[in-house]
Amino acid sequence: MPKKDGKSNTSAKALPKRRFRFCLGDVFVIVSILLFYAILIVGTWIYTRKNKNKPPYVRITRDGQVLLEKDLREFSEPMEYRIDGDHGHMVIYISSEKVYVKESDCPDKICMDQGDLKKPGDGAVCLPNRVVVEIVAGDEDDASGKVDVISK
Amino acid sequence: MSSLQKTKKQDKTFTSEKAPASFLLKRSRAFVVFCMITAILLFSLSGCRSAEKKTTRSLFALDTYITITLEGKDSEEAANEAANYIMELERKLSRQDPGSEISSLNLSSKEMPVTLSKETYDLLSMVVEYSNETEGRFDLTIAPVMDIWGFGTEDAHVPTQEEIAEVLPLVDYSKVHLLPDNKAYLEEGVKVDLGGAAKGYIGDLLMEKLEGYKLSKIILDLGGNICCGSSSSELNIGIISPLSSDQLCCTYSLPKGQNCSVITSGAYERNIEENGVRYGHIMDTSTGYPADTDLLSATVIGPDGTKGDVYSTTLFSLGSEKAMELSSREGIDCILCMENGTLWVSSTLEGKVNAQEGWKIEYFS
Repeated sequence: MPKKDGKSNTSAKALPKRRFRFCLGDVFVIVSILLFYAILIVGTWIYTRKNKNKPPYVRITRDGQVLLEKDLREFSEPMEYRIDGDHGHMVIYISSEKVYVKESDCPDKICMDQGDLKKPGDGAVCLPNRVVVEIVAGDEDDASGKVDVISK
Repeated sequence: MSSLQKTKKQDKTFTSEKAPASFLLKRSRAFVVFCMITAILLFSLSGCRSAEKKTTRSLFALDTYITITLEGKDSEEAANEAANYIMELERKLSRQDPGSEISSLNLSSKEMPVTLSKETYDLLSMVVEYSNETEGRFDLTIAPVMDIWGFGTEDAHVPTQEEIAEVLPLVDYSKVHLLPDNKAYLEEGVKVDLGGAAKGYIGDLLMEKLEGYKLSKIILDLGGNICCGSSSSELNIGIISPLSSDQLCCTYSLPKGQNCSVITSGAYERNIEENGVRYGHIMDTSTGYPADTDLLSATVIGPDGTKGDVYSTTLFSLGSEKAMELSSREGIDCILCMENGTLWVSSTLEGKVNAQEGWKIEYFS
């Protein structure tokens, strides 16, 4: 009976009066649809949460090649990272609070003038040695607060 | 089936509101609805996480550190092309490279003019024009003076008066001669360095080149010279504080859909310290000594990167008073940063510049 009602669209206003009759197949379809969406939504949520919680890390590259890439929290014991570059050596101090270029043999010392690198987006570049020291946000959206780029 | 279960299911069909008369009984329709909702859901999920592919490429070139950030379907391809183009232009424009066009121009003479590529010739003629426009405050022939100071090299030192007097007559942009057919030559002893405008110019050329890729966001950071634009969101560009390299003095917000270059000149990088005196690397072209200026930095914001590069240097070297005069006369939008924490901002930028803590904005027109 209800099946016939449904086919003839003339009685659309009589919706509350209509009686649905469920068979096992219908329940199966509904449950599987709901389950599918639930998995999709929960999965996405977990995925984004995981990315959001990624902590900032320090990255040191020379000429584009990564020399060191490590979670900052791993440096509860501060360490000094040494690099032997074109102009001699560089020493980079790394602790979980801050990173800075401690020594560099380059002539201009601009890398040392950059001071403490503390938050994602901070970086020091040594042109003569082609070394970049930077703090990278685990979650890219968080990088350097609300500024997209810096003019200097 | 129990009645309890029945009502529960009925509820669900009503709350989700996708039920024409008998969607449960007509499997085929239910399936179509299911597919549609899945499609919408997937689309919206992908939309809110990362709408466009993002590519970031960094390289050492032009005597600086360059970062290219692009967003769009073909961003990777575009970033590759941009990086290659930068290296190609560097080979033409670098004075340090003995094989470059600028190096051969520096060896040219009236008898032996050199033929330049279109890019180099265009830049050269633009810079000669700007040198003229700024009455020589910006001069592309400053190279001999820069050489004896040696900024950024191992033998950077303060030269003697005699050393400077010897090379100062060579600083004269009218000694650069442009001939038809992309030919040019320099008078004897004259050397040009396009470093003061090349990064701005390369930014302009790259923006032009990237137009073909339909990118939603372009951020080119050529060692602090910024060229950017985004069709999807407003961009915030920080201007570095001349007092400390890890802080900003202000930010500029660029409305979406616009492109601009933001170029800052200051004396806080590449300077020489001798006997307690700091010597900045921006020269007064008439004395051969660092410009005597009351500004800490000058930032030019505008659509033309070449002009911005030239004028940020020029405004900085002029000092606040003359800089304000020149920028209003030439219609240049700028931010002039003073030692007392005042930022003089062109009134045309009103509402787009936000001062950071410790800085105060004053408008001029």
